[in-house]
Amino acid sequence: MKNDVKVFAEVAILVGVAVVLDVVFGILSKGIFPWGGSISPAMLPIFLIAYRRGVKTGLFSGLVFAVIQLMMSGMISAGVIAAIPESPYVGPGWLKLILVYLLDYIFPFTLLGLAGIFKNSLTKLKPFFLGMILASSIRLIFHIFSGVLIWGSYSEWFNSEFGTNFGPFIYSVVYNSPYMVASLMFCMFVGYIMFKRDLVSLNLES
Amino acid sequence: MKGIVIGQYVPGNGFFYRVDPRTKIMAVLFLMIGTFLLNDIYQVIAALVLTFILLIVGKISFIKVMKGLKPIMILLIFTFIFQIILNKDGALVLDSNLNISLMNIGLVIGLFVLWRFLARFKKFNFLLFIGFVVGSVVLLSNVHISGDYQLTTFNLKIYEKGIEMSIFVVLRLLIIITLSTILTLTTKPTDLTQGLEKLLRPFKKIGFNSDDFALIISISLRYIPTIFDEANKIMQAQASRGADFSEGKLKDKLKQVISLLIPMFIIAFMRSEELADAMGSRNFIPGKPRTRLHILEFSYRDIVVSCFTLAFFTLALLFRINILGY
Repeated sequence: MKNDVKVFAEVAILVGVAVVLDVVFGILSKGIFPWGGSISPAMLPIFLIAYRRGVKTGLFSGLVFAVIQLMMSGMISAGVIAAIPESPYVGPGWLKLILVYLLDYIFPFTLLGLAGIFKNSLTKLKPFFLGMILASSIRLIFHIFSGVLIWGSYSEWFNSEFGTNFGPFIYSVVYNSPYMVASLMFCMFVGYIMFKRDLVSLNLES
Repeated sequence: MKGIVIGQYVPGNGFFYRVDPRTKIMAVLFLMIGTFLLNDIYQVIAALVLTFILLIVGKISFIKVMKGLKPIMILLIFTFIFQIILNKDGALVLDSNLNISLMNIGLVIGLFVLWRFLARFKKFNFLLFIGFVVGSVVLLSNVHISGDYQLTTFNLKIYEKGIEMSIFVVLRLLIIITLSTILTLTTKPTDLTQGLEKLLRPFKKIGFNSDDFALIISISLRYIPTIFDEANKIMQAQASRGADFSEGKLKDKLKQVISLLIPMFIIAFMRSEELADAMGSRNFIPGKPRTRLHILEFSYRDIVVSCFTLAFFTLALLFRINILGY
């Protein structure tokens, strides 16, 4: 399946669409989430690849998406990494550097490809939605993890801003959940319309 | 949307332009990790001086590097303030009560207006910002107007360690931005992906095809501006039919977004079909070895860069584990 020029071209173009959507909606939702995260349907192209071409291709395109994001945000989002605050959980700086790459980019976006593990996701609505929910939950879990392990001390900022008294874990959940849930709803909404109009299996010969 | 650039490659012929991309990627990676190993402000200053020497050697203008800082300015400022306020080690430098009252807030707003007015001249922006912050702190702590309505007081304490840490973090950031800018300024995106492809070769053993991976990345990068243009066109086409992407109720907004997204996906599928045909007709078979017009070659420059990187990394490691007794 992988040795197919069609799959190859589709992955390349749809990942491009994902990156464009990420940038466009990143601009539209600027300022809501100061430390990263945006409400965008950028995950949808990856989901579609996973549904159309299987989990393996989905994981592969997720990885490509992650790497392009790393390349685009000023080489390797260098600013974010350099500003990593002291963390009570992870000691040395270089370990945090690697953890930021892995937990904030590589793992969550690669594992978006897992959306395709349910059968008949292109013909039935239930596996279509279940795949999205599963993949987004996995991504959310990774973002929460990184929020605790690396960005834990930002909870103090959050507390002083909103007058709350959260620990790092709760802070991470409270910060990361809204945009992930909103993005998931967005993807499900757009995906539903595409599903109804039979666009998800466009150009797909069975 | 035209202003979005992917990769900041600028053609030129300095020293770093002719270094092999593989060497450059590895060198930048190791130099970054080395920078993170440093844990003393003097070491970071020394590393910064070294980085500036690299800029001079590569004939890269400092202004271009500073431009790379712009998108993360807010993050930088926040980190700076965050470190200053929250770090409570070392000797006390400043201890003052900030009176936050109605009149004082008015004065601070006046100062803000002055700052924004001066900032329009586009020079010394960062100094102006610092002036604004320091000015408002001085104003809040010293000015008392009689008959003023006191809202609250805020106790601002700044410690030596806080200032040191914030400078440390900002300098480290400057080094890392400079390093990554040297890489992206002097390497074509195609060379970058080719280098990545060669470096990821060893992963072939676990079933990861680095050739396909690099090629897909370069095709994606090639098509991103095209897709951007397309998105722009669709947006304008829908706007000419009365769609408004920025205003309206949530339901209306969603409708407009759908009118953008659906055509985008259809065009993407069509384009991928065309691309597959074009690649197929040129007899491209994924996973098969390909030949290249320009083959990457190592030269004496790569040895120089490697030696420098190795020396820096080793020194940083030695400082870190404190073997030099420093």
